[in-house]
Amino acid sequence: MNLLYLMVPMALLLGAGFCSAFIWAVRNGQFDDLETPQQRMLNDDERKNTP
Amino acid sequence: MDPLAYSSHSNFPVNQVQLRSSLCQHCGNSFVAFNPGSDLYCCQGCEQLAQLQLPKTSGAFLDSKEFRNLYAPHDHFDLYISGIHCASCVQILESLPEFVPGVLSSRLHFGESWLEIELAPQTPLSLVIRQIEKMGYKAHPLKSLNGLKNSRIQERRQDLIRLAVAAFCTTNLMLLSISIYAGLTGEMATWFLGLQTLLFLPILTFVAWPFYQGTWRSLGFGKVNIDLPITVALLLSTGLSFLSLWQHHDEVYFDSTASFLFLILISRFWQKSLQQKAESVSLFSELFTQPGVWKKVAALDWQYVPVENVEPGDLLRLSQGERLMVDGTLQSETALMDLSLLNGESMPRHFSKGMRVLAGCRAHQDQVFIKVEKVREQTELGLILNEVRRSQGQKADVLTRADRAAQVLILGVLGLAAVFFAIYQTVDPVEAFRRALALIVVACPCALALGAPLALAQGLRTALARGIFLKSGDVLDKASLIRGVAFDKTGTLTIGALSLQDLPLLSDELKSLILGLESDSHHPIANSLRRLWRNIVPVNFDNWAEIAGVGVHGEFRGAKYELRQDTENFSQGGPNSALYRNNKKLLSLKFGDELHPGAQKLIEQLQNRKLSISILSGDHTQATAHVANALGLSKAQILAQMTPQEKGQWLKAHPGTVMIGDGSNDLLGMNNSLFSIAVKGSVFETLKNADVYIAKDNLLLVLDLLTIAEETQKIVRRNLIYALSYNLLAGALALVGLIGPLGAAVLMPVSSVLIVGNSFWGTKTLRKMRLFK
Repeated sequence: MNLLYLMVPMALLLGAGFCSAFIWAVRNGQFDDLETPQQRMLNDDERKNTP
Repeated sequence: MDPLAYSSHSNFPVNQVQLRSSLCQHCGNSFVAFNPGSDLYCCQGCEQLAQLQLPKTSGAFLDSKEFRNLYAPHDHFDLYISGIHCASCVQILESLPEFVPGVLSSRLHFGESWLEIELAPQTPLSLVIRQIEKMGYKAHPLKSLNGLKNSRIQERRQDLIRLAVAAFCTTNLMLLSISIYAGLTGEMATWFLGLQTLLFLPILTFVAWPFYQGTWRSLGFGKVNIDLPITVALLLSTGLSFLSLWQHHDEVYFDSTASFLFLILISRFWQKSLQQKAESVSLFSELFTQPGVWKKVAALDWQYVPVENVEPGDLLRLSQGERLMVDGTLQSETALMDLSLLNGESMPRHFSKGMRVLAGCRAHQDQVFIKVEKVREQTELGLILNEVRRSQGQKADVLTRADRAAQVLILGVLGLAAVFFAIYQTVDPVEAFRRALALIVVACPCALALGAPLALAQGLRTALARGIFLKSGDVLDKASLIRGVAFDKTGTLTIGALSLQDLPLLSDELKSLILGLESDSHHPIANSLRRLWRNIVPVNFDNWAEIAGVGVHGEFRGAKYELRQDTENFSQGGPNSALYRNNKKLLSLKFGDELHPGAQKLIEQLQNRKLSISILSGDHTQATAHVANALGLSKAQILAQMTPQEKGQWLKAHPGTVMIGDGSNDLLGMNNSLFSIAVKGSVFETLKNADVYIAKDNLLLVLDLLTIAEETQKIVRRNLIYALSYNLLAGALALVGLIGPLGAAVLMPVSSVLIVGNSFWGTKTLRKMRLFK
């Protein structure tokens, strides 16, 4: 049972880590527009000069 | 090569008889028109720019200093792009920097159809806009979008962060509390309780902050909103939990309080993002206004200036199709003006020198000179809009009925708990406290508060998928109160443009004669004939003249032809014209405003629903009666020649009526209606103010809206029944002591899950509607 004193805080820290990673992503604008990127990824990298 | 410089017609074999030099309606250059009269523009570029209602010689204007300062002080432009529909649109528009020199970056926001571009200093915007138009899109410069856009993005980010923190804390709180529910005791339990308290602190402060704010704000207005009971429940259960901690009990309600807040936050977030999507349509309303106007700055010197720079006393020049933004007096001898925005009349009206012309009129000819008298808020249109804004303010604070039910319930529960505690504590204070507490926790308005917004959000989603934009869930809530529907006529029930009725069989020779007579006219009749007979080549008349309000005449091969009002044969519905040769009538043409394709079926279906139908029109009695007749409505159901104010009063006198319209003359009516629907093609102010916008050219979507509303109501009702019966049952059990606070804390999320499931599952009809768009 004593192991729990280590495991529970570790689990919480891990969770907090993911949580702050998410917050970082939000602040970076990763979630501002959820519609365009899914279209954008279909584009070819090679672009022609004629539309 | 400059796209505006070439004439698309120069390659055609030109028939000498029809050859006529014309002036381009947009840039003013002379060009050789293959079809004089129907060819108004020298090239496609001009035609597109003219349709965009961009100023003439748009390049110069777009690149003028005033425009730049107004629209993009930092060479950063927001353009609204219409015509975006797929992934390749994203690719093309985002690759602008590759083939337009001077474009530094280009970023498209697909959902909102707006393009952010950054230009190198001194790069002409006109070039970029032309390039975008060559690709087949239409670009509209947007002004002052930045503030709104940024605040929206900031708000969304803040909400997401709050949700993330709430999710993290809630899930971990639950994990920790499970072991306590399972009977963990001793040192380990104390430690877990400590961790729970720690995890709960962010919930209490950061996550719950909007609820505190909402409560504070509503109390400031002397009103109670849904945030108040939520705050009370939150603070109470927090206080009791801390009390319990203090007394070394292990009955804490951190986990249930946290999950309650988290669920409410997530349903609100979802509802908000759906609504903002609907709002983004009205957000771009500015594109419907033209950006500037020609103003005389010195003798013989006219400049295109932003509308903001016009002051009383200025002299303005309007060209065909341009809208007047000020009130003023006419300086030209005569002018033909279209007042449909103001009064819904389908025919333009004649003005002579010195008459007052009001903001909102559209010029039906070139060279209309107007002396400015009143600008902006002081114009008649401005006054109406101000009134609209005021009446909107009164409308804003409406709560949905489910919210109100939740409010009553929570206040009732709190009162009941207090009364119960006060009475029972004389018998057994500890037990009284336990039971009162169990009651509060178990009857927490969570399920009830979730039930309505979730169901409404699902309704919004279904509507959105079908092209119906709702600005708030209120509309779905109110739809059950509808008793009648009031329609505007022009542009709503009818298409809003004149067209030839009962299509007579005419020889091409006659058609070309008629077209030739009308070729230089901008009268709606001439426009409709040009649209109808676009393949016919008009003949060339000598001594051609147009007499305003009467008709046109000219000479061809020695005979005098006339196309004028048919004086012998008045009929309902619209103007009648006749073609005369040497004063002898050859044939008569009947014109009318055509009914919208779905209008008849819509009226039928609405009547099947036992709704009373009315038509409120600013147009003449005859024209309105004709439309009513075609739709099978009785005389009593139509009201013609109504001013905007009269429409407003009529709707005030008939509560429970929905207003469907398109013009600014419907605005006051809309604001006094139960809710208002703007149809496709509405003017910008109507779009901005209507509760619902139907984005597809299909009137029958009104029926879909009603169905969605009904189904949503069903779900809300089902949710309410579940929640209420749960609350009553569990509340009673709590009071008799069968459910302790701990049991209550377990039961509460269960009821929430039930509500969430029910809302998502929806009804059979809604599922079908989402599936088959």
